Amino acid sequence: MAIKATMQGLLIYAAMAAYLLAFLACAVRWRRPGLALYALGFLAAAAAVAYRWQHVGHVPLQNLFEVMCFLGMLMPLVSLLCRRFLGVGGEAADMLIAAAVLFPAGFVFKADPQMLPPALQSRLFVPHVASYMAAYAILAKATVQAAALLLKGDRPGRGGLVGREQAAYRMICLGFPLLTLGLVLGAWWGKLAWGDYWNWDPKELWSLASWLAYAAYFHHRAVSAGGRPRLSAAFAVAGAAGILITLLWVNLSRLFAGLHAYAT
Amino acid sequence: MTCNFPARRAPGMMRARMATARRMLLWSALTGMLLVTALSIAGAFTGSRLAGLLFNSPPLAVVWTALILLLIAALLEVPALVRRGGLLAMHAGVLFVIAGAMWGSHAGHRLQAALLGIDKVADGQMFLWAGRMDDEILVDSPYSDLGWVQRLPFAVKLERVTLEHYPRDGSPGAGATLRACKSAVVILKDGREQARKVIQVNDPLHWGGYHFHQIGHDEVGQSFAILRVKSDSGLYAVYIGFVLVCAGAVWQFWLRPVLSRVRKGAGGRA
Repeated sequence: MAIKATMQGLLIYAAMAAYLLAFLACAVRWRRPGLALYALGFLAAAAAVAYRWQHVGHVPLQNLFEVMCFLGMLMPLVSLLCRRFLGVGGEAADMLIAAAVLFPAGFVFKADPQMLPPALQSRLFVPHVASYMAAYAILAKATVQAAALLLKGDRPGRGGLVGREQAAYRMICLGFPLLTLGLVLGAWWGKLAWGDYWNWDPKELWSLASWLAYAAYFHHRAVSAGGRPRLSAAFAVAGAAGILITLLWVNLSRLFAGLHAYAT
Repeated sequence: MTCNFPARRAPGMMRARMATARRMLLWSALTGMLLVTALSIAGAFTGSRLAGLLFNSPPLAVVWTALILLLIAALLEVPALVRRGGLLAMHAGVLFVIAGAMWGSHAGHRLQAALLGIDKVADGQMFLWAGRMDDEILVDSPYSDLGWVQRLPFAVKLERVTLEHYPRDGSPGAGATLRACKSAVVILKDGREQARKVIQVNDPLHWGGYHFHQIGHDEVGQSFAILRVKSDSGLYAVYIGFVLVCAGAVWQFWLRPVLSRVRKGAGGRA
């Protein structure tokens, strides 16, 4: 745990503070000021990513610090997209998620710029990681709906928004192709960089397990014809747990050192 | 509405039987997915070497074959999987990936040798000294630290290895970070040059049914390089599968709903 007393750190803390205040404002039903603070937080997070990009001279998606900053910037965009096109609300939870993903960037991970080793010098680098990050941000929001569905059951939509089951389904439909793209682009890159598209690396296996959990979600939803929404939701939550492990555990734990170990 | 159902007697019963068959297929698919998920998680705990052994073991070959048969049965039995292009592409894509991966595995290479007489090395490493040529591939035994040597039907010559480093940041004692390692290699057959390329990480050479990947180098003297030699058997089936799965997912989950919404919108206004 260390505080980053740099321009980079200050931008991250500003974004975190804005996201948390936005959440508090929404919690006491000050919706408009809350959304304004959320937008302010987005600007600060975007500035943090832009600053980092300029500082390191490559797209900042190389290590967990950079990835977490990027996720923190992505969350408000996902909220906007989901409300505008999918009829999904629940921004208050997104504000908390955005603040939570920025926390490790602000306090845990080191921000030392790293030079790209040969394996990371590839045109597939940005598409692979960016697809995954976009998928993670969307599926994180979907998990909130799926978890609420799992714990409290479905709720009919109101105010032009859809119910929990539909909300989770629509967001998983949005995120799943990105998860697929991330996996396939990673496999293609693995072929070029390491010699094989599949190396049985722990991170690969966890990412396959997460992908399969979402595939199982779709199949269970089809077989039960929407009859057991809570069990379908359990598959979605399991997929999200797999993603969390893929993203953090494999990178952090020395037990699972593998080919992706440079991304710590 | 006309019904062109072939069975005249009790079409309802036939339909019910088909619905049951589809449900059974879906449940089997779900079971297969959960099994592979559980094995993946187990494999993640054991590390890549044991996981590779597990997934290439004879019992898993049975599982993969069962999954292929299941996918074929689903494509034959469930009309929606064929009618909807996105679902067809995704399922056919997974079929291609599993089949291609099996064909390209060590066991797949043994099968190729037995059935078609194709004698290829599935996967191995070449240790090449600068200025010398070699045709020996070291194949690691998956079961021990030992390995064996196999020969390629052509020779690979390493002309030179060059290392490039990032400029040092000035801190004393810090080694310069490697930026690139380039191996200039030439393929020779019967003494005649066939191909030539400067290979590096992310930029392999493809020749004679093999990919040659830069995977290791001499830290000090720039005198040798380690190449991974990987057979391309089954690779293009896997790549076709990748394209199908991605295109299918994008079509099914993004373009199809957007297009239907646009059509509905146009219909509503008209």
